[in-house]
Amino acid sequence: METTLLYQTQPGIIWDWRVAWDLSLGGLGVGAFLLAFSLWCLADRRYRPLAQTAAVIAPIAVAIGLTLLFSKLGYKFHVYQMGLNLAPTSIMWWGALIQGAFVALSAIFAFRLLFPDVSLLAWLSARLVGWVAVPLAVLTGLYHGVLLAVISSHPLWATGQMVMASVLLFMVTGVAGTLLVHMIRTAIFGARLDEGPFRDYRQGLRPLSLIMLVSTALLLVSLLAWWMELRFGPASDQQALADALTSYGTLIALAIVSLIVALALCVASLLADLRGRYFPAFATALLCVLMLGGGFAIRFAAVLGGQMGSSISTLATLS
Amino acid sequence: MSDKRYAMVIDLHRCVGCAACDIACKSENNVPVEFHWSNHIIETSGTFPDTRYNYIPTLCNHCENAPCVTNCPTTAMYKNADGLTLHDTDKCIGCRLCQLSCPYGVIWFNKEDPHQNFMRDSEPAIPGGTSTGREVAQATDAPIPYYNPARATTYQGIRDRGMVEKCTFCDHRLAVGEDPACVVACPADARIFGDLNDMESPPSKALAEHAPRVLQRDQGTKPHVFYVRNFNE
Repeated sequence: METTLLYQTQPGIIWDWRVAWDLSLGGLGVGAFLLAFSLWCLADRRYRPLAQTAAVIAPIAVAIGLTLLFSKLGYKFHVYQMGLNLAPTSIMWWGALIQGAFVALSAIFAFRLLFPDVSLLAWLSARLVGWVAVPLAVLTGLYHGVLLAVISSHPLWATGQMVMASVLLFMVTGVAGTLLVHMIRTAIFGARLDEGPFRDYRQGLRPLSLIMLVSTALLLVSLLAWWMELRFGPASDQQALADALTSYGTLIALAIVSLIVALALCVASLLADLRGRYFPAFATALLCVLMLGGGFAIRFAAVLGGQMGSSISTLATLS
Repeated sequence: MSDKRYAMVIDLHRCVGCAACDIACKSENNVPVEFHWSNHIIETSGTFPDTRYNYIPTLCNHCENAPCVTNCPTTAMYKNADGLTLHDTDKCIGCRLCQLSCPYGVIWFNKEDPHQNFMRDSEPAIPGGTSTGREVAQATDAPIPYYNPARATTYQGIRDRGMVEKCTFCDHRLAVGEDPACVVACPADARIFGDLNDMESPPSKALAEHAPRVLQRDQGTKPHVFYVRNFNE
C-alpha cells in the first residue's frame, strides 16, 4: 500500500493569472524599452518611428502589469505601507520601487521621443533619462525572475533557470511585441516616408533578427536545463515537475512548439535577408505572434504550474 | 538581542491525535472554521495487518529564518524580541507572498469576510430547541458565538477580509504569563512550551533529553517547533 498523506492547507491557486500577466507584460515592457533606447542611440534615423513604438509600449505594458498586480492585492488600501516601511530583505519591496521608477522614467523617455520639440520636460535630456532607465529596466527584468526564484518552498520556481528564462523572455517578447505593434501601426496609419520600403527596412533590422534568434535558442536551452534540474533533482523537485506537467503539460508543449517554429522562421528570415530574397511580412508577423504567445504561455505555466500540488509529500519528513 | 527564545517541543510518543489542540486554538484565537492555525498531518502506510499511522501536529514554526518575514514587502510579518513570528494587520496588503514563502502551509488568507457561516446560519438544529450561531452571537453581543475578546489585546480579534492570519504562539496569553491554548488543552501533555534561553525550562530539558527533529530541515528556516520521539518509542 502506498503512503497516504492528509494535510489540510488552503485550497486553490495563491497567485493567479493576473500575476502571470504582470510578469509577462513587465518583461515585454522592459524588452521594448531596451530596444527603443538601442534604436534611438545606435540606429539610423529611419528607425526612429520603431523606437517611438517601442518607447510607448514600455511604460504602458509595465503599468498595465502593475495594475493587474494591484487588483490582486487582498487589502489594496494598505498599499501605501510599502512606502512607509523599509523592507530591504523583500524582493517584492525592491521590485515595487524599481518598477515605479522605471515606469516614470520610461514614460518621460517615450514623451521626449514622441514630442522632441515640446517645451514641457525639455530640460530633461532623453539620453540622460534613457541611461538612468536602462539599469532599472535590466533590474526590472531580473526582478520578474528573482521574485519567484527566492520562494524556495516552490521547487519549480527556486532555480537559476527561472531567472535566466525571465531575462531571455524579456528579450524575446520585447522585440517581438514591438515589431508586431509597429507592423499593426504602419498597417493602420501607414509607414512614415522616411521609413522606406518594408523589405529594405527589414534588412536593416538584421541585428534584431539575430537577437530574437539567439534569445529564443537560449530560452529553449534554459527550459531544457530547467526540466533536467527538476527531473533529476530531489523527490520534491520531481514531484513539483510532475504536478506542473499534469496541469499545464499541454500548454507547455504548445509553447515549446511555438518557440521552435518561431526559431525556424527566424532562421528562414535571416537566410532570406542574406540571399537578398523577400521574406513576407505576414511571416514576420507570424514569427512575432509565435514568440509572444510562446513566451507568455511559458510565464503562465511557470507561475500557475509552480503552485500545483504542494510539498506535502516531503512535508511530513521529520529530520 | 532577543529577551526570550520561545519554542515548542511536541512529544510524538505522548500525542494521541485527539486534535484538542486544534479546537482549543480555534476557540482561543477566533479562527474561522475552515482555517487551521493548529493543524495536523495524517500519514498512513503499509498493508494490513502491517500498517502504520502517523499523526504529526503542525502549527506556525516561528522560524528563526522565517521566509514569510524576509519576503514580506511591508514588514507586516515580523519577528518580535522574544523570537515570535507575528503579523501586523495594519500593514498587511494581502499580497500573499508570505503564504507562498511558507514551506509549512500554516498561513491562511481571508478571501471572504471571515465567519460567514455564522452570519448565514439561519436554521437552528432543533427548531424551538436550539439557537442558530447568529442568535448566539447576538445574544452574547459578540461577532461570533465563540468570540474571545482577550485575543484582541495583541492582534486583531477577527482578521479582515483580504488579509492573512496565522498562529502567534498565543502571544496575548504569553503577555500575561500563560502558556498557549494548545499547550494547556493537550490532555497528554505532549506539547512542551517555554524559553530556550532558559536551560532549566521544560523545552530545553526535553531537547537535551531527546534528539529533536523538525519539519523540512532542508529549507533552512530553523523552526522553533521541535518534535521528539515517536509513537512506538
